[in-house]
Order: sequence, then structure tokens, then C-alpha cells
Amino acid sequence: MSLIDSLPRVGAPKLPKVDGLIPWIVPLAIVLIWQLACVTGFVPSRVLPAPTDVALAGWKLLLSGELVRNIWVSFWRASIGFVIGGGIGFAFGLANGLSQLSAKLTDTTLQMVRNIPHLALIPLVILWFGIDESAKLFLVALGVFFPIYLNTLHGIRTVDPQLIEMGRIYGMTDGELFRRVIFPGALPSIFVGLRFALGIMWLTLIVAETIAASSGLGYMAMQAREFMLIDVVVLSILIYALLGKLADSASRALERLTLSWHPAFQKK
Amino acid sequence: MQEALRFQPVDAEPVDDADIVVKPRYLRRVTENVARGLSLTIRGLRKAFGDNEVLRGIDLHIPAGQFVAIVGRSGCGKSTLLRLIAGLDAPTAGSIAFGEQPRAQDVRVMFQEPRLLPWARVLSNVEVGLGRERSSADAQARAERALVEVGLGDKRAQWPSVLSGGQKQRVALARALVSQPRVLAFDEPLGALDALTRISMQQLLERVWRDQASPRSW
Repeated sequence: MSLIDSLPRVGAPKLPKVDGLIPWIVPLAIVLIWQLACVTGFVPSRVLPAPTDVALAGWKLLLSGELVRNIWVSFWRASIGFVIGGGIGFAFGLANGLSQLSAKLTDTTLQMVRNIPHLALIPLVILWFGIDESAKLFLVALGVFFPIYLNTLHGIRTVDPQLIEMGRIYGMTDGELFRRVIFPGALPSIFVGLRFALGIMWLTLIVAETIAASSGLGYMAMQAREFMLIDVVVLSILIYALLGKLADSASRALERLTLSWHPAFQKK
Repeated sequence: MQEALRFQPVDAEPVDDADIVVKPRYLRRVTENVARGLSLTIRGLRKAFGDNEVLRGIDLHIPAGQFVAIVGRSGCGKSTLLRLIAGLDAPTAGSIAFGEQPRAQDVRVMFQEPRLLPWARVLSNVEVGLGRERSSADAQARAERALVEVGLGDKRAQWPSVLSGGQKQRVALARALVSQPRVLAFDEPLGALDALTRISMQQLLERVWRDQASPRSW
């Protein structure tokens, strides 16, 4: 969109396929250097196993079905917790953004709760729920709630009042005004909240699973530590990175789909 | 700002200290438009924001189909008057009546800014102007005709963000005209445009308004 983009590129032949690979150059280089450091003995394998060893451990766990099961359990917990916490956060954001009364009634309370680090609640949550599923879901939902709530609220509050006025003059009902003006206007901000929430979702889940669980990726890593299986520990950490990237890509794709009107998402 | 809005008798020459002059323009041309337009009668209109009285006892009668320009220094209450006419604010005292009805549904306002929905294509932005009739079967056809009217028929599927300032304002004009409103209120719609664009927009406005004056079925 910018002037620079519209200029012909000198000396840079356009290779669309290569373009998509550029982001992976750095991670790939890191893995290569890492492999090299391990093979040459620069890094002892009990400190950091070589990527090939990690891959091998992953392959073994894959064959035994343990890896898929643990990823699935974690994924399930993350999604359910996200839907619950995100749904409630979105609802509160809408209510407080649209209604002064609702904002007056609940916002102060929510802001107080927000400033408690939700992971500090782990001891209490274990006492309440044990190491049950509900403990993890509760923590994830709580962690996801606030970024979604805050950004939905912010998005609705910052919708251009001139557009709302325009909608009123042109005879939009409250429902239409919300659907055609307020919600689309708040959407970019809601997406910011969504991406923050996805990060917090994994963080919370992994911490919760590391401390109190009998399944899931965090549990797998902790078990591996007990048995000094450092390759499995490293494998779990790499899977977190991949899952995080996956969640981020999904939200970006959704963004591109729904915000195609936004100048930032328009491609020539 | 402190000086309240005043009006001169229609035939009087503008006096120097007058902030605002109502000019009856194009009287002859509009005669056919009388049937479709609405007369506007304002009596004893006052508007105060706290202690600051912006409009002080305004009486104004605009016959149906007339094109009236309200001129005045910035901050003298032009926009306030227009917002009252459009029903965006409630007057402190006095009354505004359209024709025989106490309140008209079909006032359309064009603002200084285009105020297009950035997330709607140009065509659906024009459709917004249809108000309650948006769901009617010929809504899209009417919006398309209004777009052609302002010379932007080929931009119907574009996002507003790719249009120039003048084009955006033309879309806003199409949106204001699509429902064939009986009262059109402009709040310096050309104020933010450059001189050349402004001249061509003025010509466009005049042309569209003249065309609408004769009975047309869109």
C-alpha cells in the first residue's frame, strides 16, 4: 500500500515461494548451529541433547501414542478454558462497553481482580479443585478472561463516535448499529486481545500442568525430568513453541479474513 | 462565539456586523421541487450548553424545495443549528417543524467528514442511506444508481480506504441522496477538500439537486 511498495523493485526478483520461507530461516539456522555444537562436543549431551536425539525421542513417543495423547489432552484443556474465559471476557467487555451502568457496577471489581497474578492462585485452586481437570480449566479461563475483556471494552469505547452518530441519523436500530458499526469498529482491538489471550492460554496451561497434573504436555515434561530424559524435556519445550506459533497463525488468518477492509491488511 | 446567531430579512442586504445571512438562492429553479420537499419552520429556537447560549431565539421559515445557505464565522452556531434540525440534539427551547409533521424521518445530513464505514464496501455504504428501506428488494439497484449519479459507478466494490478525499465525499453524497430525502442538511461538506475538488463538487451538488428537482423515479 505504501509508496515504497508501489515502486518497482530493483535487483530483487520476485520469488513468491521463497517469500513464505523467509521467516523460517532463523529457526532453521538455530537448529543447525545447535546440531553442530552437539556433534562437535561443544555442548555436552547431558546439558542439551542434539536436535536429532530430540527428534528420535519424539518419534518414539509418537509411536507409543503417548505424544499424541498428551498433546491432545493439553489442546483440549487449552481450548475449553479459552472458550469459557474468552466468552465471559467478551460478554463483560460488550456489556461494560455498551452500558454505563454495567461498567460502573463491575469494572472496578474486575480491575482489582486483574491485578492479582492468576498463577498466584495455584495453591488455592489445588485446594479447591485438587489436580482435577477443572483446576486447569479454571486457571486458563481466568488468564484468558482479562486480555479479551480489556481489549473488547477498549475497542467498543474507541469506535468513532461520528460513525455512531451517522448510523443514528440514517435510522439504524440499536441492533443494526451494533452489528454494522460498533462491532466491526471494535474488531481490530478484539483481535489484539485474542492474540494476547492465546499466549497467556499456553503459559497458564503449561505452568498448571507442570505443577499439578497427571496428563498433558507439562506433565510429560515433568515426568521426563524425574527420569532424567532431557531429550523429552527439550522436545516438550519445542512443542510449546510450535503450538504457540500455530495459535498465532490461526488468529492471524482469522484477522486477515475479517479485517480485509483495513488498510494494514490490503495487499496489492 | 458569544454573539448569538442572527438572521437578516430575506431581501435585506447583508450588514457588516451580521454573523449570519440567509440567502434565498435559485428560487426560480426549485419551483418543481416544492412538491417533494418539506418546508421547515423554526420558532423561538434556543440552545444553551450550560451558561453558554449558542442560539438565541431563532425564527426561520424555509419554504419547501428551497436551497438556503447559512453563512457565518466559525463557532457561531451553524453546526449547532444543523444538529438541532437533524434531531441530533434537543433544543433548550423553541420548536422545529417540517411541513405538517412535528418531526420528519427523512432528514439526511452530510457532514464535513465523509463518515463512511471503513469496513463496508462503497456500495453498502450507499445502501446505509436507505435507512429503513434497506431491506427492500430494489435497495441494491437504487444504491447503484445513486453511485452512478455521483460518477463513482465503477468504485462500487472498493473499500472506502482506497478512495481519495473528494471521492469519499461523493460516496457520502450518494448515501445522502439515495433515499430521496425531503430535507437535506449539509454541514460544510466541502470544507475539508482542496479548492479545485471543491469547485467540481459544488457543480456536482448543484447538478444532482437540480436533477432531483424534476420528478424522477430512481
